[in-house]
Amino acid sequence: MMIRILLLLLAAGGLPALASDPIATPYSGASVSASGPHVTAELVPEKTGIEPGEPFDVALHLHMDPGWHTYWINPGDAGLATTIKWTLPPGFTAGPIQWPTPEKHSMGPEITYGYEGDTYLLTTITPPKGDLPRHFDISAHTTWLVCQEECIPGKADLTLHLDGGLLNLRLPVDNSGFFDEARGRLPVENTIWNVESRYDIKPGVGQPGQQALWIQFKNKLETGELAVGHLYFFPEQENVLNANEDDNGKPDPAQKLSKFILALTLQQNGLKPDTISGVLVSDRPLIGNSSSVYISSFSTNATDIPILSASLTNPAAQQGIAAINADTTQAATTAPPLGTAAATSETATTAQPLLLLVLGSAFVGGLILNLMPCVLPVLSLKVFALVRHAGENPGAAWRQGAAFTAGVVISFWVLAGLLLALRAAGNQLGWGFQMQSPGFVLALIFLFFLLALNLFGVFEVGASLVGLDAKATSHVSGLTSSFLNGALATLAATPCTAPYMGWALGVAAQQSAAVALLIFTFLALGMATPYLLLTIFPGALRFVPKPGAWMEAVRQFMGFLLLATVIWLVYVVGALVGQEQVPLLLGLLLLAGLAAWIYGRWIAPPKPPRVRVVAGLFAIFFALVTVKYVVDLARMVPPVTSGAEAASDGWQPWKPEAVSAALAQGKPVFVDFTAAWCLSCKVNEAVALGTDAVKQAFTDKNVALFRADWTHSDPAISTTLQKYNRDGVPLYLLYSPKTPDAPQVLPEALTPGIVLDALKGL
Amino acid sequence: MRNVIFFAICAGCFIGLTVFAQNTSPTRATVGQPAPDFTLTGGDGKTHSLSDYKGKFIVLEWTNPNCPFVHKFYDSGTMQNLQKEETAKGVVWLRINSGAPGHDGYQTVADVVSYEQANHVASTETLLDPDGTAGHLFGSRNTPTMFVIDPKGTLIYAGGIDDKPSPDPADIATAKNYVTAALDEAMAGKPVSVPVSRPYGCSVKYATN
Repeated sequence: MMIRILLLLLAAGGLPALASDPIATPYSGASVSASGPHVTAELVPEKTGIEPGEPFDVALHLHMDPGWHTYWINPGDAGLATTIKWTLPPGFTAGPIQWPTPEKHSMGPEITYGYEGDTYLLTTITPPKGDLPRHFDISAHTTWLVCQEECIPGKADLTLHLDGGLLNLRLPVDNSGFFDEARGRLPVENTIWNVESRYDIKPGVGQPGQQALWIQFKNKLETGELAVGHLYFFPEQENVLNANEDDNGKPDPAQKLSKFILALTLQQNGLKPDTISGVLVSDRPLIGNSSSVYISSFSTNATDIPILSASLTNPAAQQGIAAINADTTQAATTAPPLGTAAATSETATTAQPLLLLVLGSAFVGGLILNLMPCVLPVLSLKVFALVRHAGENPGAAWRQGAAFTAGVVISFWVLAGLLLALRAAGNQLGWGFQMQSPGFVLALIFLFFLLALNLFGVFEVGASLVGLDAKATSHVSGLTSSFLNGALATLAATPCTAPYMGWALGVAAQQSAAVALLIFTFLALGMATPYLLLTIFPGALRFVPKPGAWMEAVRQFMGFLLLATVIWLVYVVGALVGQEQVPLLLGLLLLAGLAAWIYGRWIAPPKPPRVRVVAGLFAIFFALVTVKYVVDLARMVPPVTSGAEAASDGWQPWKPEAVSAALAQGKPVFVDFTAAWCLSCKVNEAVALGTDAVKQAFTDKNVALFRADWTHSDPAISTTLQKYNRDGVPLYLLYSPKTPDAPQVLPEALTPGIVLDALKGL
Repeated sequence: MRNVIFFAICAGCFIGLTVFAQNTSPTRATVGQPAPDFTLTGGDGKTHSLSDYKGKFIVLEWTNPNCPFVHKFYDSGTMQNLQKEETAKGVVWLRINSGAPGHDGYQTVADVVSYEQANHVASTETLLDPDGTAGHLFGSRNTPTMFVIDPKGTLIYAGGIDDKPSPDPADIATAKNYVTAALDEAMAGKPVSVPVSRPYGCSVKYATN
């Protein structure tokens, strides 16, 4: 229960409310429209009474079917920009299209720039100064490409009838109110930065020698020191920059809006134009209330922009100039420097007052990890070892504690480094990603199974891995085993970390490498603290019972806990490679157990050498057979899920398009982001979502239910999780058709009451 | 000491198994550099490697039978004529479909055979890349995307088929075809004047994993 309350608190912390107002009751009369597959095109004038020399705007309004999109001036990885060709009366001129701020749409690994729902492409038309004809037409020949999974080219010829002069029988139409709103969708002009850039290599990212565009934004006026948010730069030029989010928009909270540098990876076999323009968007206001700024043409031949290696070593780094995302890679590829992490965090703290809260949560989360079924057996056994040795060598106990802490902290760093490095390499990974790798889970199964056998006494491994054996008293090996214990505890904890630390890790993954490492460090310290305290204050051990025969009983009981964990992991592997492989896996566990038994029974020294050799051969044979089949299992391609299972019980497989479609039909939508290996997801599904009361409420409210299964990695799901500041499952979203862009995020620990209350609020 | 060894073995197993499950990525194709090799199943049911054709000019054409931009070139017969002309000069022309199962335009070997017959395809071979290996290696994002490799195995052109990005077949007549230009220049021993251009078309329907 404590855990649930804490998680509720954690979850309540960082839920960004995404609000976007759809343009209501657009405009009145005097428009002309045409329909193509999945698109309705309409031409809307700002006004119909035109005066000489007075420019006016005309909007091409494209309305797309749910899930379909048209494209921005740069369509991104695929697609084609919408075009407009004007036919105007003599003396009239038309300006370029004023593009609204684009959205990113991802399809598999490809990312395109465009618009879903409704978009308004504005063009300014300037009439001549002299007398205007009383009635005249302006025509637009427009072409577009509309895509969902497939693409359909479309075109339309649209003609508007307008009136010149004031003496007209027709009542002039005035849509200027609507146009003011439509202009609100345009990026604002850049009035605050001088922008320049250059091409240079981006160390440590992707391919060796991968090139990037380094863009420097420098305030023209020395004003505020606001931190940059999550930035993304949409270039207007095609085939120049990689659209991938990880390469384009990782924020570094150490950077300030007064001066910052973006390092944007270049497209493979792309172009390198001399000037670039585009739109910079952020998750927070940049100029006035606008979070999107049009950056007009800037040079790509600047010379004095520091690149990563320089910016990390020269004093500029302390002023808060660090390279977005390249910084991440640097920290991940070198050994984790604690000093650097601490130094950077100072700037980060001022930039983000939340950081302390996050670190606190990480620490508490680390403490809780000790109670997890994955960790408890390993740790409690270590405590027994301590009980045993405390009497023999009381003064040295704290060293054991320190070694254990070091083991925990360092292996957390290694895991964090691995996560950061893989992310930098462009993989869409979340915490718990290792659980999506059958190889990793299989290795855990065999490790835990053999550990359980070891606890049952089937075999002994020299000074046992969990430090139970009395031989570990020698000073050095005692410390080593403490260190290894810390590492093992961390490794064992990873499956439990995934669901419970989702929020803090979500923040970590969106931060710079330094902050992420700091968060991991606090998580590790939290986990090691109880043990460390016990060794620093050995007096507390008095409250732990005296060693004796009961320890053997507890040891065997812990073996059963491990076997329980093995059962769960077998279920996970089944979900990854197919449940029909489970009998094979169980057979292999039997073989491995047999090998361990032979090892324990006949290979120990008192047996005669001939017996030991024969037994050794048997053990090796069984072990080899096991390893061969385990490797086969690990390399097995996961079966394509039919979705039939997900569709049962009223749940449909999640697809962003399907969600939009349901919302467009006026249905509320509930999305359950889950995975087979996520225990808390399964608990929530059983105790909250699966109850009759909740099912009934879903039916009553006509809620469309979607289940996003993250058992296998899925970039679309990872991206959505990140959008809501999560780095793993579970995530529960409740969409109301009234506010389709701002779903309600439910806590990570659900009760029927929480779900019912949320449904009432619809 | 023995527990250290035991732990090391365990750790080794972990890393080994985890690495097994990951894909190691070879060098990606870059214009001016040797093209990376790949092996795919062809429309004839046999496997074909890029290295099988070393010593010849090779054209790679990324395709998807349902993409309107591919239709633009096949319905008008333009692509088939290009294939005929260039293969007659000894050029190896490989069509590649990186569409993944379940996605729009995914083809099996049987689909390829019937498509080639119906559309009078004149390429050397059509290769199937359902897991996107070759597509990602070459950074192919669109259909059609074109690549030209010279007899030394160097990638000499990457980009669109021509300079008129539109789905309208009427634009073909006035467009400059970058692939024939690159082949003509390279065969004449001249450097390729436009080695990189902007590819345009549909997205490649890669697997989402």
